[in-house]
Amino acid sequence: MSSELLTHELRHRRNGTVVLGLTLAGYAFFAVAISGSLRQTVDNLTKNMPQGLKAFVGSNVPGGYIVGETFTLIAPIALVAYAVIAGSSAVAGEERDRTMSMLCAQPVTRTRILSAKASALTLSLLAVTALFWAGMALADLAYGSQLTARGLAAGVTHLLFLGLAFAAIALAIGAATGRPEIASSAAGGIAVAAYLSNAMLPLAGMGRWAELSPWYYALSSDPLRNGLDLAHLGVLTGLGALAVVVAVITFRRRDLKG
Amino acid sequence: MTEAAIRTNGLTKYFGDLAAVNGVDLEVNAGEIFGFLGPNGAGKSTTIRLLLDQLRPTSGHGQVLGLDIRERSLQIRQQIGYLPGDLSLYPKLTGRQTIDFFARLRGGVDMAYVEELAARLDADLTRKVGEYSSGNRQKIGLIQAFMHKPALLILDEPNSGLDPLVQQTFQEMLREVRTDGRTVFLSSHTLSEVERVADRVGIIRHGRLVVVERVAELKRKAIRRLDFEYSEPVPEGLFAGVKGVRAADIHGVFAEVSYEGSVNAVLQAAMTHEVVNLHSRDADLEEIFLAYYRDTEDGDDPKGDTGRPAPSTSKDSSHVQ
Repeated sequence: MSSELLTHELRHRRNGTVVLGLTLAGYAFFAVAISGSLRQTVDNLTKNMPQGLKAFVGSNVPGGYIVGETFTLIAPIALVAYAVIAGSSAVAGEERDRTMSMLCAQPVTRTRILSAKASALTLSLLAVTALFWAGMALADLAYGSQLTARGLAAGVTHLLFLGLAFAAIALAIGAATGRPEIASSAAGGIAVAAYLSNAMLPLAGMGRWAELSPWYYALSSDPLRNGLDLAHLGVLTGLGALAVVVAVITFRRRDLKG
Repeated sequence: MTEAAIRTNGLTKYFGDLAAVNGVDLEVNAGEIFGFLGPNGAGKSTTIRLLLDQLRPTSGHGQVLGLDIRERSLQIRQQIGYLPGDLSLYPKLTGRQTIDFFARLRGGVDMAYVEELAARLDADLTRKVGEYSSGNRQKIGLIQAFMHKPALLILDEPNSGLDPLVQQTFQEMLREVRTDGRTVFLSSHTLSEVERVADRVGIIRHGRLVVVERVAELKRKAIRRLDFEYSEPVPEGLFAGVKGVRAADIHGVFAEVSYEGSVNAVLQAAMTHEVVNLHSRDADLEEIFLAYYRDTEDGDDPKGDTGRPAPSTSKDSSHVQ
């Protein structure tokens, strides 16, 4: 019975997943393709910048500016935006669309409904990041880049865990309120504030404060260069797990809206 | 089966300061068709969603098929079929995919019976739900509610969007459910939708169950209306003193008459002049329980909004918790 719910959720997520995954894969492919010729120009532009600013611009990563932009800006923002939108509508969207009333009248518990939705979100984000990874890996084969296979896998994994954490936060707010617009604006607001604090606070010499931001745990360990940082991934996992627990508890307790 | 299909004791639900359902003591017998009547916003859907554990009661208790609505909701939902008021389905699924989805959530149903239901209701299962008319969407909802032959059907405003022919089929299906010994709980805001099939009706108003009555009894007390159009202006006092007439409003050639009981006396009085046109109007729910209060309380406070539950036929159910 739960597998049926999961299948239903995956079917619902299929198009968004494929479109975003292919877009990111295509973008990644072309980013690597043009990065070789741009590298010299960007290096000249940024060589006198302080380290913090270089990090902000994204020029100090293997593969140079374009790959840096892809990993620190484009891909995580696209992934987090998708995670927030999909997460906030997972439970609350059914209430907005008034389909929840039928779903919850079936012999399935709310916990099962929520876990099917959380699993589908996880698989969807996993598929998006896998496609993104494939685009990068293909381009590396075709054009060559300074990325190592290990670094690429680690960078993509960090992005996946960042996406999962924000999807879980959005899911929890939606599950607690039944209002997708509240969930997406709250979780989206948190994501933007966290992104800015992670990017800006180090420039202002307040690097420690950036450790409050989930983005810090996705990017600061420089996974493209240094590989997986299990402690940082652990923090993102803990954050996501906590959000899912909150989602289950609040969703089980409250009145359904639609 | 001796236990009631639905029993509530003091079931109450507040939304903020508003008591959407207020101290409802309801008892629906197994094997009957029970009409749950009330104007829009009276608390019908809220009551139903409390029974389904979609809303949590502020106070009071309820049992469905002998199972506590809070503790045993999963077992309850295994045995009921539900059609929500204001039905929404997944727009990208076809009718058949929708039925399949809900069937699998129930661990499978007899698909031959689904086909039979679809044929009887003349439902199109091939297209996407988003492309359906509201009538066809409602048919999918009905198939979904009936397909596993549940012990109790809870149908919230099931007639909406159905054309008259399908409504007839639907009413036959309800009678068959009763013949099977199963129970139907049917909500509606118009008496005419339920009076042909229901054994008893309960009327809810401002969240309170004001009366539970056999349909025949209710209709006897109901005020109905006839509008006459005459060829020439008729005298003001045409219906004065006529048996059963509650009020007569006469403007020139038009007369609007409210009456209860037999229509004979009204017609006799009306036909003393040349009638050009005649139009009958449905009994209004509001008028029905106004009439109920008049009859049971000797004209005491005809507004009937004192919050007192009327001395109805629903026995004060003994607490079974």
